[in-house]
Amino acid sequence: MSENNEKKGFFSEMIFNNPVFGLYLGICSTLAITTSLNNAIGMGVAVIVVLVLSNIAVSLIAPLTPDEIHIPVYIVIIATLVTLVGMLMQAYTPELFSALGAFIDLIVVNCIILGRAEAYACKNGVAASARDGLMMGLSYTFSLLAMSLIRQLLGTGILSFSNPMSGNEIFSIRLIPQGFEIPVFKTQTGAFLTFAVLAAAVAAIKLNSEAKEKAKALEAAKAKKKEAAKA
Amino acid sequence: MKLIYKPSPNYRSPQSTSGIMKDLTYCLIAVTIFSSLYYTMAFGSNLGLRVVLMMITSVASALATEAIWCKVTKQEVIKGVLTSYGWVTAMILTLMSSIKVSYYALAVSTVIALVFGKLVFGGFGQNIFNPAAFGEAILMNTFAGSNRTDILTSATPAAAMKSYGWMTTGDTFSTMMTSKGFGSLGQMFVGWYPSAIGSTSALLILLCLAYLVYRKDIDWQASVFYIGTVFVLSLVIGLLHGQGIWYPIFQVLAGGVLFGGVFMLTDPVTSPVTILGRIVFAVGAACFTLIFRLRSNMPDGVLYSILLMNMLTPAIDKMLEGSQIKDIAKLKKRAIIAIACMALVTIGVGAIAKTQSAASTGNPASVNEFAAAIPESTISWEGTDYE
Repeated sequence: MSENNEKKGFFSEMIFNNPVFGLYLGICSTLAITTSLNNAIGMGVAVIVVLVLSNIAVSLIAPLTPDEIHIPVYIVIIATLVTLVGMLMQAYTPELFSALGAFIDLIVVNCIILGRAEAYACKNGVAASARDGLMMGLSYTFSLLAMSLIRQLLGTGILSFSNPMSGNEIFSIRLIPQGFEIPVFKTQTGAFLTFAVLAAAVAAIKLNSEAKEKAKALEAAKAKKKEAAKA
Repeated sequence: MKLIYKPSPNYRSPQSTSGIMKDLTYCLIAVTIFSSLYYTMAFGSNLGLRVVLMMITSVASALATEAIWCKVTKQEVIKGVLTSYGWVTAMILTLMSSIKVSYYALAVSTVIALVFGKLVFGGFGQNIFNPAAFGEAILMNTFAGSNRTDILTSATPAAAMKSYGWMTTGDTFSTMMTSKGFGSLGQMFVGWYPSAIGSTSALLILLCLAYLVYRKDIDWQASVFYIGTVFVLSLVIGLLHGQGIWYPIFQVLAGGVLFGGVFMLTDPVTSPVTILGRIVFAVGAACFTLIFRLRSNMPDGVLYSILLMNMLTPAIDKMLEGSQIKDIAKLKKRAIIAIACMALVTIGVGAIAKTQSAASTGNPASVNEFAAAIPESTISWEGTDYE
């Protein structure tokens, strides 16, 4: 029973509280870098690391921070972490670093990270904040993967993934024959189209489940009324 | 006295939407038949058949898209497809494309045009952009690589003129017309030259305009003001550079001015509500067309000028808001100021354009020599008019 609840919570956090498609946070980098699976996973991992560490640091430091300067303090923490991650990526995964370009540095101003620090980490304990960071990072990565899967497949016809450390190809499959790819999905137009469709799908799922819940609540209320009438 | 018991709006015109679309379809079929005949006579029956097959591909994918959309959104399929008029979009899209576009690219562009250009906005009557122009922009920008290279046709007049920046001397112009095989301006008026599939025959398109206006399907103002503004402004620009009467005539005949002006600019959904607004809209589109031709790196500016003016439609409506009877003098003044500003900017852009002739720039001359040295049929397509 409890496991079931946990699973449902995981799913709902991935879909309903999805930062990109549900809350429309961090869209800029999502639109820009989702041209390939490699980029998406690299960016996702970088964001997860920064998000978890910044949430932990913020939850530790929040009780000591005066209210007037809390945003600069958080920004300094986040910027330090992003610089660290960027330097590590430049050292160990140079190809990925050059592919992502400025968007590694722009994690600093990614709304998800400051948003979670402001909305969650500064009010909660270390363990809860770390878990929140991990969940948010995972659902951000999940959105990046969904976008880049669609865009890479339709835009180039090939699904491929290579080891970011060595640059060796791990797998590469051509699913759409040559000449039948739709190059618009490689461009920013395609990014916006994909984003719009996925965001609409998430909104539709949300609406649907809300309607179901309402119907359930109505039925429950009716049943109660009947019981009351009987009594 | 005859009383009308319907709620407003009470149509003044006896013509219904389905009637308009029927007449429009007839006109587009006529244009298709003409261009199929042209390609059959000029390049062989393969290309003539290709025109028809492209049309069928596009229309079939449009109907399939709308049927699936109706099914998914739980509407009545047959009624939904018949009142959405997707085939008109598909036909205009095909006629705007070049003969080299692959069937696959055309089908995908049709689907994208209908879904993202029309259906997501709420279907027919709700779209912001002309769906056919939207699809053509997608087709031109992203499927250029998948064009069939084995189909050999010569350069279009618009693309050839673009190599001189749409501003050249009369001598260079007449050399260009003969060396590329476009013939005379009269031949261009009839439409016997290669260009986008459906935009060649000025004669046929003007007949379509006359028919549509006679049947009260469209207002004459938008088309006439568009074509007229292109003519007048390029006449002024031509005079500033000492060009003859051939310059404005060529500006009107080449590329998609006539086709866009008659079939796309008159779309009631994406143009302003009032007649005055439509005039401002048409003049603005004409100015953008000339500016794009003279200053951008696209061969022709018709497509993007229409898309841009679609975007400005709400602004034009806002500008001309008010009582159409009481405030008409004030509104007319506003419209005239807007038109004058746009015309002045366009003339200014035209005035600073440099005249390029074969002698003054090295590159086009060598292109011409190159063109003269090899047989006409092997010169490959240099771009599409609408790009």
